[in-house]
Amino acid sequence: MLRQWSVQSGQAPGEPAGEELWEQEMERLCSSRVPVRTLPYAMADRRILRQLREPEGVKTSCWQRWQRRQQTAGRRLGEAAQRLAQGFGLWEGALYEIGGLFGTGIQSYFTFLRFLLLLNLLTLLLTSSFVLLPLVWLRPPDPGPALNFTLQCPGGTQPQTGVPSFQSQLWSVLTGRAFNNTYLFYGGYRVGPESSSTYSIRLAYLLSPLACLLLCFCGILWRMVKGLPQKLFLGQDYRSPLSAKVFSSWDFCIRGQEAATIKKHEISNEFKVELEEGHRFLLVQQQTRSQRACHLLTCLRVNILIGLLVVGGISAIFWATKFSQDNKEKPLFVLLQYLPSGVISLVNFLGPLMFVFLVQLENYPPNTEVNLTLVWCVVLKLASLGMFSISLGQTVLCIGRNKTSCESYGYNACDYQVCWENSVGEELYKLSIFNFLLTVAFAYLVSLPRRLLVERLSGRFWTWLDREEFLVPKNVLDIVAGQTVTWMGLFYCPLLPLLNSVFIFFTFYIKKYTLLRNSKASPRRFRASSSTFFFQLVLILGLLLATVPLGYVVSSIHSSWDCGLFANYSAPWQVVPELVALRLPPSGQRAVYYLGSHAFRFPLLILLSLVLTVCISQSQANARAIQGLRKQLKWQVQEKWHLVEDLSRLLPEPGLGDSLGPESPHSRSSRPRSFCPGFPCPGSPGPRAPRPGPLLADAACRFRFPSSTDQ
Amino acid sequence: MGQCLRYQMHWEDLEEYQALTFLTRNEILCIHDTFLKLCPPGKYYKEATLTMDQVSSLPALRVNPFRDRICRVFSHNDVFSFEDVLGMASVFSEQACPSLKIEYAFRIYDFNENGFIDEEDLQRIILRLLNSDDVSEDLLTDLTSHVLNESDLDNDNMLSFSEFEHAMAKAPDFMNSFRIHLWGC
Repeated sequence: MLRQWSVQSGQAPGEPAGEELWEQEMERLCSSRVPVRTLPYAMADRRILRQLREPEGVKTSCWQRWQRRQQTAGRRLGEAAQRLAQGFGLWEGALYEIGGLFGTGIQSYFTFLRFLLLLNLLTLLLTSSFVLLPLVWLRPPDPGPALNFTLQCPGGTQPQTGVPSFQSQLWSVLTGRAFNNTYLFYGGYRVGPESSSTYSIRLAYLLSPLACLLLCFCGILWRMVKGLPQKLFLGQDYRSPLSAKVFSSWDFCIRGQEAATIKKHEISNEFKVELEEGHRFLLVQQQTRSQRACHLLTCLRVNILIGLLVVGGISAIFWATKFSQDNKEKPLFVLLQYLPSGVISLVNFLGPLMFVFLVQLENYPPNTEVNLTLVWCVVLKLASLGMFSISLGQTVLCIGRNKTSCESYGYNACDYQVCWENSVGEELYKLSIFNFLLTVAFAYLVSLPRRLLVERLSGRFWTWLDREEFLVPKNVLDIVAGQTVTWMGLFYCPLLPLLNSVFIFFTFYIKKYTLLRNSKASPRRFRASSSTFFFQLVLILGLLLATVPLGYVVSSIHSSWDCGLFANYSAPWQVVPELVALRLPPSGQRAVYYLGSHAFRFPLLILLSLVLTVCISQSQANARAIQGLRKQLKWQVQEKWHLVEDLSRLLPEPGLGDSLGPESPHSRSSRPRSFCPGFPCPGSPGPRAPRPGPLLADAACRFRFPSSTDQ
Repeated sequence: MGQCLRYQMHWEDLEEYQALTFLTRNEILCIHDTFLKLCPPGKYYKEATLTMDQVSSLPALRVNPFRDRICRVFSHNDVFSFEDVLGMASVFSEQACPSLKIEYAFRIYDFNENGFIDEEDLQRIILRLLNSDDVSEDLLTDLTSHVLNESDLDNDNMLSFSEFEHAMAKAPDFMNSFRIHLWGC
């Protein structure tokens, strides 16, 4: 760099101003506190800069040395924490391989799997450290025997029919009956009455699902916000503009030749679609009002049709769940146990196919087609799970219907004599297992044979069928549904996250095998950024869906009389007031009551609204400022060209034009000159700019606008 | 072929490289190994150089349509020293800051090296991004004019660095896609 510096001053002896500029630049760089490695210079230059900033000869005091050590340690710690947050570096090699072969769109699905595994393990850690470990360690005494109740129930419960012992072993594992009295289910937890001094396992059991859900919510939200582009909502356009797509389309991590060709196809498709959308948008804007109304009606038509299909699908789920619960002890329970899961999977398999077919009947632009189908698939998936829980609620807790057996105890004690929470937990357990088994079955019984047949046999049908496409949205929806089921079951089946972690672990390898061996890349591009945002959004919707029933059950539903931790409470939440009264001093109790009262909630709500209003008005003011600055930029440039034209008129000879060039940037540019090759030095000639006179083309090219990188 | 002398690097050098780049210790050692495999045997790694062809044929860059520009931007006097390779890896690493990536992306995309991305550069970028049989003249001109309409704020028919930076801020994909992980280890 110093070499270039002297060459620079040697080349243009008549410009002392240029050398001054270098000096100013060097001073600025030396005094700024920006880390050296963020500067866009060659390694040798950065080394020189670093030495100039902290010359080695100077004696650094103990304090400065200690400070520097702390800084390096802090930086290392930050890097290690970041790696930890990204999943302990688990599966890094596999992720890079997938990214190299298929691009970052498909890689984002596998990164998402890793994120979910992390969430589940965190949930498990929380639950086991606050509930299981104290339970095992403290060994609280068992409560007394359960009270006997006499129930007036219609009919009697039939005993289980005899099934061969081996099958019944396997069957009880698959239905969860084998684990009824273990820590897997709610019923296995037993604790004596609350006292004022020992650790309250009840409170821990009650609060840990809520805390886990809150933590997961914060984690997902944080990741969502991190992935959002910084200034997306400040500009006029909501979608990412074509210019950004042109510059960021290519995945630099691609290694395979085939992947590169496929990627080029994807990019060309995307560009064509974007241009087509742009044309369409212009056409739509020129439509008359009646045409717009017509267009809206046709939109509504297909949406109403799909809505009806969705309603039909979820009613099927409702009836299936009811039927299965009503006939729990019948001989045909082989099918009936897994009937709800089967119907849910069937509905979610057929639904998207029909949506795609219906949406294609209308003449939508391709992006709208994809988005519409996706939205409806998400709605169907979440509605199926919602309907499943509502249906369970109806049969177990008599929500929304009158049944005498529910009146005395608050739940359907006739059919669920032992433990209704266990039954609900078992249902969710079965759903979780069924989803995983279905994934495995599809991978090995559908994709693999399909690939083998397509490879071995020839014929028009087989060439048309081709390998399975790896559709990222479908896979994401499946895994999000599994996670929602886990969250729903946190209260009834506290170790369900452990099961889900194991399933996700194996799903990674199964999906990786399917992707690498049995699939072909989809020609439609799925961008990593918007897809990550989409995944997190669907995950948050699933979390909210899981929180609502939990909140309702915890606050208003009577627990089973003779099993579990909350046997003598009118609702599990009643433990909290009891403990508050038992353990806190009167002032503490008053504080807690105040926090729960309306006198606290309303001011908090008003405060939050104020903060929101301030944020929104700030962002609107920023948007207006940006508009103003853009206009100023245009005027400034017009002024510049005006001056350049004036200058060209005033100058008598063309030869003098060049010497004025290097001086003019002095007053205007403050962007650091770069010493690297591949970047023009002020003396180099540039191409001809179209507008000004050819003599001053060089001068014009050297103008730089102050950039925002000088932080 | 080539000496695979591991840990030819001194500890102080390793520390210095860690401070001057965004690479982790393992990444630096990995690149060190790759460099030694490719350079002529018997040379000290700080003095050896690689040609642009050798770097272009690394698995990480082999199918990259911009590999010639990458090699041109990061090399000095048409050869790569070890520190040049480290500098390149640092810019493409995961931990690099956005400003550094945007700066180098601008240099890579500036084909004619005049400090601006003009129409000619844009056309060349688009031609590189698409398969040769996919491109028609109309598509090219359409795309170029669209890009300039969107991002050229001062109406001079080319993109200066500020305009490029502004356009990149709306591209959340950029940080994800402008990344190369493994350099042939």
